[in-house]
Amino acid sequence: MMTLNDIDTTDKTKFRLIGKSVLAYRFIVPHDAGLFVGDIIKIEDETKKYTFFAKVTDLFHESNFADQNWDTRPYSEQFYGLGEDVFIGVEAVPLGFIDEANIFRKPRTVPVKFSRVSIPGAEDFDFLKKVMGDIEVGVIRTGQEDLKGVPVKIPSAVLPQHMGVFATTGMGKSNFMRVFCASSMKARLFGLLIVDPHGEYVRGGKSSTGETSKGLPHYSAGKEGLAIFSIDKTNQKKYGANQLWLEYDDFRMGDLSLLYELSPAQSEAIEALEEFSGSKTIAFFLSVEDIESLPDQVKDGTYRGIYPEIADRLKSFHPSTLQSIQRKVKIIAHGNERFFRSKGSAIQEIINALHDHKVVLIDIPRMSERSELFILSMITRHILHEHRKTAEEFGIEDESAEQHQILIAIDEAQRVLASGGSSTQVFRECAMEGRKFGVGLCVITQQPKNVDPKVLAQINTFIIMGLGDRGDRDIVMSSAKQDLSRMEVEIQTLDRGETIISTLSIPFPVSTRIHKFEEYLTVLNAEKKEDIRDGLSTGFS
Amino acid sequence: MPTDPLYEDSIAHVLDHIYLQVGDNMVEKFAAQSKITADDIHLITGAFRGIVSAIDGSNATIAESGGFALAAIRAAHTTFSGGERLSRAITPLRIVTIGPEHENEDYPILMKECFGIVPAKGLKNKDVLRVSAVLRDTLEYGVALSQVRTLPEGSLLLLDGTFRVTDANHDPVMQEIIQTAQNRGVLIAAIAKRTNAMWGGVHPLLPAMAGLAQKYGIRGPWWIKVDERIPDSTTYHKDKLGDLHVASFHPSKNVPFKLELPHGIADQTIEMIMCAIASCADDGRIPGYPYPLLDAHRTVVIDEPLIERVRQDLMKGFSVRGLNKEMFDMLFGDLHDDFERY
Repeated sequence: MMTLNDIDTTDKTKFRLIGKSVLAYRFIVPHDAGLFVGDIIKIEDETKKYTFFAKVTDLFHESNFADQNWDTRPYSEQFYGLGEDVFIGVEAVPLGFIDEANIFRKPRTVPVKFSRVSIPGAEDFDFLKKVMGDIEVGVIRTGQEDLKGVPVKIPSAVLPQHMGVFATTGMGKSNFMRVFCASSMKARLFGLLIVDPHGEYVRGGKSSTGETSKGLPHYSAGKEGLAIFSIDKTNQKKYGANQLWLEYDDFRMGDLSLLYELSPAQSEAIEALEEFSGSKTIAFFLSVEDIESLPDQVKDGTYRGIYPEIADRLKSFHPSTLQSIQRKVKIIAHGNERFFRSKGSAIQEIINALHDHKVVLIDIPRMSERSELFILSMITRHILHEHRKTAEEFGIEDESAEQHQILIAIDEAQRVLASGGSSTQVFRECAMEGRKFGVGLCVITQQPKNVDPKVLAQINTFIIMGLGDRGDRDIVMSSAKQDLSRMEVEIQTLDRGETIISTLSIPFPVSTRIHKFEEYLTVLNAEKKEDIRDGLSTGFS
Repeated sequence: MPTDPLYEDSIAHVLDHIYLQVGDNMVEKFAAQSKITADDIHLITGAFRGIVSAIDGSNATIAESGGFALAAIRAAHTTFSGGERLSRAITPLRIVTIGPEHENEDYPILMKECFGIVPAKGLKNKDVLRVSAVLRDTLEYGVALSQVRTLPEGSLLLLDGTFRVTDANHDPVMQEIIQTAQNRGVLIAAIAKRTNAMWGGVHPLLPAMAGLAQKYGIRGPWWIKVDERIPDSTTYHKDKLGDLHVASFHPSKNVPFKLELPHGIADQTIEMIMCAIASCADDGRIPGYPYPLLDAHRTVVIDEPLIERVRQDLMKGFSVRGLNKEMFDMLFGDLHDDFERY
């Protein structure tokens, strides 16, 4: 009898590894397979008993036909019905593999040829739970799908090594920050400082895309983790906020360079006054009536003002330089009277709240951008100064375990961390040295290419959301500590609320769907709050 | 390439020869001699939604020594409906020996396996290519018979080539295939990729037919039954199982193919067969050629990598039996292989 073997209609050439190297995998899928860039795939090496994971980076049409022009020939659409000779080629970048001991390892080997490729389920990512951090921000996203059972958590331990949030307007930056804040309020593992000039963290309101949103006080179950300092009486009453006060001594003449474009002569004059306290310099400039004649008065010995040592330092400067500086000091002192006064500061209270691992919101509604930077620089300088002092007293190494961790958020960070500016010294110091003292920056920007590359190089946690500008994507990809170069297509196609998180302790860049704040809030508020009386005896025995 | 008068003369001579066959007024001459009118050429219209199954076989010489040769053979069917492949099946690759005995030893075994009969007359091991083709045909007809017995009524079975067999032992087999098809209501046709059919002593038949269709302004798929007196060769006249037809199946590309359909079938059945073939001849790879036959060919073809694999398996077998590479080379070695290395 004649032997005639059926050719199995299940095409085994698809979904099996056919290439390529340790750093690039390749396989093919049917021409109508629903695979997406960003999908995480699982490759099971039955021989070595390893399970590899890889991320789809590119998809392209391929065929087995020798004729290069097959798809442009007349009636060639007939092929698509023909099945397996037309297929989709898939390029994937390895993420790593789980060995026999269930330990995740870097991809230093390649799976056996023809290893089976499949789409992993949530249970396949159990190993990730061990390496995930503690500040939940979303769930793992694989292509178009979300793996609900695998929350993505940023490790708080690496936050003093700075975090960067990069996104163009409308990509979900504010939503991410509010989710991050809520999780920080819940976890209480570090202090987080945010200056909120538009009230979006305090009151909520409308996002850049016009959607209404809630504020952090709406997280009622986590209110212990929130401290608000406000200049607005209504908000103080409504949210139980503290009155924000800064005093003249919180100010340094150097702060002027952050707020104004200064001429070289003005910068020199300010530098000459750097050692004097804010209360003295402000009182001096507010008291001098005829500053254009000050150099002459000092030279003639006719100066009778309250701070002759300041006057003496300024005697060699041109009267117009002194006039300009006096004008600026007056604007600061009088323009910020709502929170800036000669005596009485809330900075120590703010620092205490931060050391108490709270999220601290500085609520300055309807204040100018200049006021925002003014406040931020003064508080940052105090935090850095205090942490540095503590480290010097106890020694960095000895104290590190007990050191308070603080993260300072700077929105539109390119304003103060651009290349070449010496005017923003305090933020620069924070970026370069802050990690030694437990002070990290949360650099939020939509123009990463305008941030000093030296600052970007200090950042170890990258939150990359949709970036329209190629230059911005390139600088972010080249600055991240993990190789993101193969994920360019995914970064380019990130949608609103989608992000790639690259941080040190999570072994590979994780595609994440950020929780929608309002939905996350509902979940958080529904969680059972630990009762302080739990475990205590509630009756007589 | 440097020009040489002798070379140029030979090219000119060949072109003269070709021109004599197809040039000048060939179409007019053919029209006059064949007396074919536009009314004899039928347009193919309508659609076919049934099953089309195609059969093809493949043979390749694996190794040749002075006294004998080894060949690989196999056959396959591939079956489509509505542009989607329904199934495919293939015989295992068989390695057959041609020589040194006078009669082929594999032939009776294959005939027994495929049809349960022993060939009435042995197959002489004279011509390696012919013998391996006959052995391949045996498998191919075996697959065809199996298909024609199982295809549902109204399906079309396509054979590659003709109903005419190379070896007389296959005559009853082919008759059975055709008869079974007709009994079961399965349409059947044999399509040749190329033909040596001529008319008027020197003219090829297919270009003349295509030219005639063009001359009459016929566009789109067409077919014509060819009077048995038109072709020159007597092979078309004796012992025939089928009637000769020429058809072009593509709506815009006028590519004629030679077909054989069972002898004496009604015009209505011919129309159905032509319509069925045209419905699967719109593949962009080879417009006008039915893609199930293309798919069968791609499924069955024994290509160079496969030949090389068989050679390696043979070498491995030599080694297992204590025969070395030198012996293999002495038996099957070809200095051309060595030449190609340089």
